[in-house]
Amino acid sequence: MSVLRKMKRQRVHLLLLVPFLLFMVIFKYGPMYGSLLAFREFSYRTPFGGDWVGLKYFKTFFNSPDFSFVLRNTVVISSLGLVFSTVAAIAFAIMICEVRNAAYKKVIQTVSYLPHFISWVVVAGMAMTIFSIDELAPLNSLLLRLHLIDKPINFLGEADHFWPLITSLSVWKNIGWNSIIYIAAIASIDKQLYESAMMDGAGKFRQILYITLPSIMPTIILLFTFGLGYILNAGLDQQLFLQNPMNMKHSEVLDTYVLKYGLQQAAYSYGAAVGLFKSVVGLALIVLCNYFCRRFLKTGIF
Amino acid sequence: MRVTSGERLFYIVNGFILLLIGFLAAFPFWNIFVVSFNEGRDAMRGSIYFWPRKFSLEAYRAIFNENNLMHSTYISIARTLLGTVVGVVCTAILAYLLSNRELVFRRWILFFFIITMYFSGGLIPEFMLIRDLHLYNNFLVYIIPGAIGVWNVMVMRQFFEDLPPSLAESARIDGASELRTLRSIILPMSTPVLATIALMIGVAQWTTWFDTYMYTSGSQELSTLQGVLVKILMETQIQSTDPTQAARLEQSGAILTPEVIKMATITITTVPIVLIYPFLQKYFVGGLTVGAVKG
Repeated sequence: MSVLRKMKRQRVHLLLLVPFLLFMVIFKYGPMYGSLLAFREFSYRTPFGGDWVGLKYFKTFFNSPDFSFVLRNTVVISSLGLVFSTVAAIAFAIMICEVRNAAYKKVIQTVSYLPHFISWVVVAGMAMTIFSIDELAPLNSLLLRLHLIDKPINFLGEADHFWPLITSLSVWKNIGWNSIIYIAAIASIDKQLYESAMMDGAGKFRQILYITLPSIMPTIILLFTFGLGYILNAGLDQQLFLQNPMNMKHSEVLDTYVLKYGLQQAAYSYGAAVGLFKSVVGLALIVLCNYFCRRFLKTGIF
Repeated sequence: MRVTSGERLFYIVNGFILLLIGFLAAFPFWNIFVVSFNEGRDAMRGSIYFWPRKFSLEAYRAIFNENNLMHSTYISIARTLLGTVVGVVCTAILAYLLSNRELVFRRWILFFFIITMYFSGGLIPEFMLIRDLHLYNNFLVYIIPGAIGVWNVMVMRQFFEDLPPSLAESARIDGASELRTLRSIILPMSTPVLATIALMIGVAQWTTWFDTYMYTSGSQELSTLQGVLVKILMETQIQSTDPTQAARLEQSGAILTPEVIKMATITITTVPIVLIYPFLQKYFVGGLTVGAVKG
């Protein structure tokens, strides 16, 4: 009864919510229902697919030779990105907080955010120029001039160079932006801790090691754990634009694989199956990570 | 407080490393800017760093003479303006509705929205949906599907919930409608979070290539600047992995090269962002930490 009365009192409020709920049903829950295409044959006549075929397309994917290397690339690329971006962002945040000249600090911080605001298309475009095999290209010409190499390195065209390349690019793109949260965490540390440490004769490195790092450890663990939850999201853009037949063995990830087979080769059901596999495992990982955070850190995102 | 010599060394080294990081972040942009103003054939000789060697506006002249690129620029501007306005309005209204602590079934409604942040149907079903809704090859595909970003809504909702509830109460008692309360009480106090969300949506609109690539057939009519850039990128990619390609291009004798056209296009897409984001810095830093700490 009281719920009904409440609903009546909030009718304008609820009425305003209706279009938003509809929007979510169409644009978010629609594709969720649509992903059942993974269990059906694709058909042009029925909008959500034709005959049910069970796990056929999942089996095809798990048994295909692509499965192991696509999954490996996805996990390796996002793990490398997560570890190096986190370490770089923490180091950068600590260094920024040690700058005493406010104007200098501001300038460096502002500049460091810039790469975050541009798209991977632009980053890939820059990378293709900088890392080009041409002996006049920026990096190769520099290395040649310093006599570190005798002939240009094919950074973009060899599988072995792909992981370091993509990891450095994501560190470069995210270091400033990711440091924002750590800088906020460091700023909230009690200044008296540092003062008493200095009284005891602790130098800068000891202060960082024994005060700064332990104080921001909960933030680090929380963000890192949630990064782990997104381990299957290696990102589509960076791989897609820097990918070529020569580095394919190291650059094909789940998202590019779905795009290639599912859409460009019109294997819709197969693509939907790979996509659904990714979504389900991804959700399970996030729930698991949240559970660990709740249990051991007494905090979580939901 | 006295600074010991060890500390002085620390500050100097620290400042120097940060300078290096700043340089690495900014220099590629400056270099591209500079090369885009250099004559194309001359630029192929390399070693242009801080200033053009042979100044030339050829690349920009070519871009602005080509109707397609101008058209793409208009499309990019139109989707960014319209997309940001629609996005901010929808986000603000929804965030306000969800920030009401008394809302019936509040937990369920929140759950309904939040679950979509962690689970999605995937690329193929989304593509099918867009096609079935006749949004394929339609300008509205840039505006409608992305009108509500749940993460943005949650950040703004958090901000609204932290405002003193008595303000909205008193407006309601005075007989103001829901939207009126939002417009004249809540929004004027929410500039930081509004600026943050507007920046996020605007930058995303300006820099996305995915919808152009996925949901338009690549026709000129709906191509955005990022879409053009994707095309140029795909065309010039072979050159950066195959040394014979560059030599062939050099012999062809053209003054304009795809490389400088690429640089000029990158410059056009990047300059607006470089000019805007520093001024919104204090907002997004504040907005981000509010959202992330309490998230």
